[in-house]
Amino acid sequence: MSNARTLASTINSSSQIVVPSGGVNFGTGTDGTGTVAGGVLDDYEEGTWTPQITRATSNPSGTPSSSEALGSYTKIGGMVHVRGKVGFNGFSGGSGQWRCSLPFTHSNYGIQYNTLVSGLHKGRVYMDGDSSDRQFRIFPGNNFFNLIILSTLNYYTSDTTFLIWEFSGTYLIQG
Amino acid sequence: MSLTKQTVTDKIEIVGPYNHIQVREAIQVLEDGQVISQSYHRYVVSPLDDTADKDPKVQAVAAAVHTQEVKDAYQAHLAAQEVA
Repeated sequence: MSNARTLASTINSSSQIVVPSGGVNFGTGTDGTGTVAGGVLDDYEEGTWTPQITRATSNPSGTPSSSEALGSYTKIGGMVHVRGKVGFNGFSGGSGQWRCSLPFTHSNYGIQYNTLVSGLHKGRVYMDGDSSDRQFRIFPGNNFFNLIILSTLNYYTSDTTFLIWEFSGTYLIQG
Repeated sequence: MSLTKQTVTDKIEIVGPYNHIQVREAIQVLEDGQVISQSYHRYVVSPLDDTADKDPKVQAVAAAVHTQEVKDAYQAHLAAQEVA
């Protein structure tokens, strides 16, 4: 029997518990020697990303007269919560579906739409005055979300020169 | 005492059947060369993305894993996604 010990966790000078590796085991019913699958929190992370608007066939050209793109995320295990806002004025051209980038790729599992723990909440979609009948959706295996016309269940593909999207939501990510 | 700021690519992950590259950048503030503050910024590179303005390490990974076969498969995957 070895007397060797490994450092499991520490408390640092900021009174934070530091777990070097392996994560936190919330599993119950074990004898202390094993790990319950699905009972370990092995990742937590907060950060930002820059939501980027693109179109499926060709991107709008020109330099917007004004723009902002702010996004932040909280990743807990295999799930991420995102919230953000993107706005542009001065778009021209482009064609195809409207898309907005995400900080993590969506899980490849799930049904074809609303494959989220909770749907991306449409805080606001404002595009040349059109703000109704829209929904954001993330499809399996993608690293972006789309804008959908809710009443017709089609991708939104109309041109615009001005947009504001605000959103928040939670989705499962690729493991 | 000197304060400096730097951005380093500190994690590159390849995920999913289409080899999406998830990149984490650490934005660090250093005092006399020691990191005293750090925050994260992320982006994802899909098989169809242009990597010309990305970190050379990311470009190298993309060149290796985003083969024409993967690009074609991802293109087909996108084309098959219908709103329902």
